[in-house]
Amino acid sequence: MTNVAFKKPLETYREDFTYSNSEKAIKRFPFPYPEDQYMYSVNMEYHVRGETGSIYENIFDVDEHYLSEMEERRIVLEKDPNRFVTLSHMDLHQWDVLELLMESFAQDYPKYFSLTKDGDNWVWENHPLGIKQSFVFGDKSTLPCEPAEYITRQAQGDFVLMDQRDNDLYADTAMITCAADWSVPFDLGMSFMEWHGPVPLAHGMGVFERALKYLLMIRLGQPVRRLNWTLTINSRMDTSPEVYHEWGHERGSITPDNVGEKIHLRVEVQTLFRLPRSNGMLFGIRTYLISMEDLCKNPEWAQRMHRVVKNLHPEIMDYKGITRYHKTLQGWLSQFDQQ
Amino acid sequence: MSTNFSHTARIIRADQVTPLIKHFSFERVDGKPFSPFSAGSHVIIGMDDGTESHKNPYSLVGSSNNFMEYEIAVRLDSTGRGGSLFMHNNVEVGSEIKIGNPYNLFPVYKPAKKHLMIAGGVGITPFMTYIDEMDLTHSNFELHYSVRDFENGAFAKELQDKYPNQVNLYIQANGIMANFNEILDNQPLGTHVYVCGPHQMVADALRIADEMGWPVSSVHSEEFKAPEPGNPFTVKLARSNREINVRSRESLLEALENADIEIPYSCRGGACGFCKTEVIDGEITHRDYFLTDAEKASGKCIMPCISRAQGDHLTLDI
Repeated sequence: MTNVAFKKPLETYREDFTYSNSEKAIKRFPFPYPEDQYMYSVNMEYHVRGETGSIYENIFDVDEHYLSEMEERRIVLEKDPNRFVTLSHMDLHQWDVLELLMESFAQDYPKYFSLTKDGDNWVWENHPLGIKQSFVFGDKSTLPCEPAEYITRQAQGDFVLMDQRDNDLYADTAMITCAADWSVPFDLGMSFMEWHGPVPLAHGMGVFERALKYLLMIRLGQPVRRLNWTLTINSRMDTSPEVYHEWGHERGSITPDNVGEKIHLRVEVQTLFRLPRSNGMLFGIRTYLISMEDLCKNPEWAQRMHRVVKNLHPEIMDYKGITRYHKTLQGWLSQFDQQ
Repeated sequence: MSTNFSHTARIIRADQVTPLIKHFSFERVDGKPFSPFSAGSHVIIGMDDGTESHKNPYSLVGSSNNFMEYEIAVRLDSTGRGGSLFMHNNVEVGSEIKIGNPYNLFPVYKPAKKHLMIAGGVGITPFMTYIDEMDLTHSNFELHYSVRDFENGAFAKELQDKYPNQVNLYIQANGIMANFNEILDNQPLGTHVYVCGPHQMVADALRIADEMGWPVSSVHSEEFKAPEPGNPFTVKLARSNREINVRSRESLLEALENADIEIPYSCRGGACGFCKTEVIDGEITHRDYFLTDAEKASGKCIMPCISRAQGDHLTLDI
């Protein structure tokens, strides 16, 4: 059984940025680079369970930041309720996701979550957040909000529910409060290609055609995952375009003295699940943040990080918003790569 | 992709619902519930009669809200390769079968404003779960169901009794034929049409929809084929340096499986794309719906579930 030492007092992802990783969290961080050079690829693998203690031990990872991240989500939604959006044909998808998350949580973390079913009469308990909810599965009026909003307010990471039709996937429901610079109210209803339109280079490489074909064939009970990454200044989860004025300028604040503390590697563990009732897909985007300082405690990671940053294609650098502080970061990282 | 069957199931009901169609209900032998599934899903059923094994796709027909049981309806095809014959003659209450997870190649178009279903004969099966879902979600739907005679109309009476305003039955023996021009005319904007039934009926409906100017994206049909028998041939496996004979009644996929070679699959009817295999040498008779015309012309890949060698040999890159 998984035990989690939830961080208390709650950490912040804004203003004073008290977020930090314990030794344990640093050790299990999903370092994303298989090589010294980064390039886009269809880097997908089955989302199978990993070693005890790893972020892949459970279907959905609940870690020490759980309570803090849920509070951050509450703050974002309070300021901007449009970070959860859904279209009217997505009811079945929403119930699918509610069931998937509740069942996985209850199975993997029985100490913290429980789900009791009596036909369609369900009781959900979330002990860390102090929630006990009785409701009728399939009857929205028995929940305080939309089913997908309800459950994703209790699950770390962002979630997009995709409808599959016309041999394509449409982003038709989403809970996005920790976006790496993309806007869900803007992207709502977009097809897979439209949604990925801004990504440089990969279109010409045929990455998205192959990825879409692969995703369309994902089967029930055989979820897949991939890693994506970018860099973020400070431990800020909400780097969405809606609040660009709050964080965009921070890219200009990097000096050789604050690189280690301010620049964070931001890794998304992206998971894709076929949804049983709706034939749709759940796209989970679980974000992990680590400061350069903490990352570089691991000499292998530090050396590779330097090489990846040094070799980064200028277009990817621009797309990820790294250009402005690239030289400073590379200079700082070079201390870990003397070969 | 794993090709293994997910569960062993036991038949708990087997009813002859028409002279040609047998309706089976089954449960997991481990007593656990099946997965929920989406309307239009099929499952692969694995049968073994001792000498031959069959793996056939069947639409699920039961309620998508009862996970303790799955249901299928099997039409006897006396000219086929034996799977349906086995289901009719050898599978009874208490028999055990293998079953894979549901997969959907004929999904409901969720944003449609109205769902117009055209069924013929055993083509009613995917619409059983469609109607169940549409009832549940209070969607606007209409079914036009053609049968040879009332006796051969599987589920016709129960559908008519339950949805008298939405179900239109056409009994050909009584001279009542579905007129696709009339059915497809004057439908409200945002209607999607779904067609499932005998090949000629599907082709007629699609042609008329096209002539009437229906957008291609609003017209859906279930395009499943059963593998047809063909000439026997030899297949060489380049990487493992093996040679396997494909008999006339078995598909290339079945021959590979019988030689303990695992190929991923889902529909076994040339539609899903899972079993696509690279070909190094030999002429191919393509019978699938999946490969593009360019891929077929290149001669470099085959869907072994349904396509065969044109000549007496093929060399595969496996």
